Amino acid sequence: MKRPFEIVFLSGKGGTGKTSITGAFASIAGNAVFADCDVDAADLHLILSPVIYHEELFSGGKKARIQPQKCSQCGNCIKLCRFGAIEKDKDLFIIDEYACEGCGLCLYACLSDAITIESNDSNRIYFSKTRFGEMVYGKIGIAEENSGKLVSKIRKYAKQTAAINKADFILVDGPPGIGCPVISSITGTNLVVAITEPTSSGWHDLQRLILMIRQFHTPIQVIINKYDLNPVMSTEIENNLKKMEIPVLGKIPYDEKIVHALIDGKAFPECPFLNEITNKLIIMWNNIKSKVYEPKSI
Amino acid sequence: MDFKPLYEYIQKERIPLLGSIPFKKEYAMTYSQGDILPEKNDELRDEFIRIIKKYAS
Repeated sequence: MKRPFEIVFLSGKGGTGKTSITGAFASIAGNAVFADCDVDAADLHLILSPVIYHEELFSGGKKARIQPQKCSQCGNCIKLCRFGAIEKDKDLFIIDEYACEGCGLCLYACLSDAITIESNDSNRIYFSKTRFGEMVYGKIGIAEENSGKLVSKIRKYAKQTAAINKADFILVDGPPGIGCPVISSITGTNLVVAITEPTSSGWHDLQRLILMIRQFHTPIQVIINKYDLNPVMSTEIENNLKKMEIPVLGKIPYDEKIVHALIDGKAFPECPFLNEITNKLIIMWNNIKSKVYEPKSI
Repeated sequence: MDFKPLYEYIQKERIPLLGSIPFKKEYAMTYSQGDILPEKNDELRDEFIRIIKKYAS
C-alpha cells in the first residue's frame, strides 16, 4: 500500500505563522489527515474547529502521591526533596504536582510507606473530524514532561487514521524550537516546510532548525512569511538559502487583514479578502504535490 | 484590536491590564530590523513609560 506523504511545518522561532499556514494548506490539501504536534500550545484546532469522536489518555511523567492515613509526619520527604515539591499544610503533607519531578526519592525515604509514584493522567489525545478532513491532536497538562513522546504517539495515530481513510497526505503542525518535541515531529517525515520571517530572530532560529534537520537528512523547503516587512532581509535570507541549496517554496506578504481570519477561526482560503495570499498558497501546494520524495528509511 | 473574550477573561480572573500595544505594520517593520520599539516610536514609548510607572507605584 502507498504510504501517505507526511509534511511537517516547523519554524524554529515562534510566531512566524506556522499554524496559520498549516491550516491554510489543510483547507486546500484534499485527501489529507492533520496532526497538531505543538502539544505544549496546540492551536490548530482553533482554525479547523474539530469535532472530537474519540479521546484517549496519555500517561506522561510520574508524580509522587502521599496517602495521609499512612503518613507519620516524620518530615523526611520534605527534608530530602530537591524540588521543594512537598509542603506541610497544618497536619497534612502535600505534593505540589507542578513542582514534583517524579524522581521517587521520597518513596525510599518514607518511613511509613505512605508514598506511591503514579502516572499522571492530565494528558489527552483527541481523534476528530474537521471540515477538511480528520485530525489527531493532543494536549499536555500544565508542567508535564514527555511532550516528545506525546508527539510520536499523535503521529502514529495520524498515520493509522490516514491508512483507514486512504489519505494521500499527512500535514503536521510542529512545535517551535529545536528541542525534543520538534525532533520527535521530524523523524521519518517526507518533507519539512520551514516557515520563517525576515527578522533577525526568524533567520537566526531558522539556521539552527536547518542544522538540526540536516541530521535527519529530511528534505527542507522554506516559506518566507511577511517577506515585505523587510525586503532587504528577505533577499539576504533567499541568497543564503540558495548557497545552502535549500529551495524557497514561496513568499507571503504581510497583510493586516490576516488577523481577521485568525480572530474568526478561519483558514486563509476561506476568506475572500485574502485571495491574493490564497493564490500563492495554491501555487506552493501544487509545487509540493509535483515533487516526489522517497520516504526516508531510518 | 477588539477581541472581547480576552478582555472578559482577564476581568473574570482579576488579572490587571498593565497596558496595551496596538497592532500595526509599522511596529512589525521596526522589530524586523532588530530595532527596539520604544526607541523608534514616541507613542509606544509613552505607553511603555506608563506601564513602568504602574509597576513602580
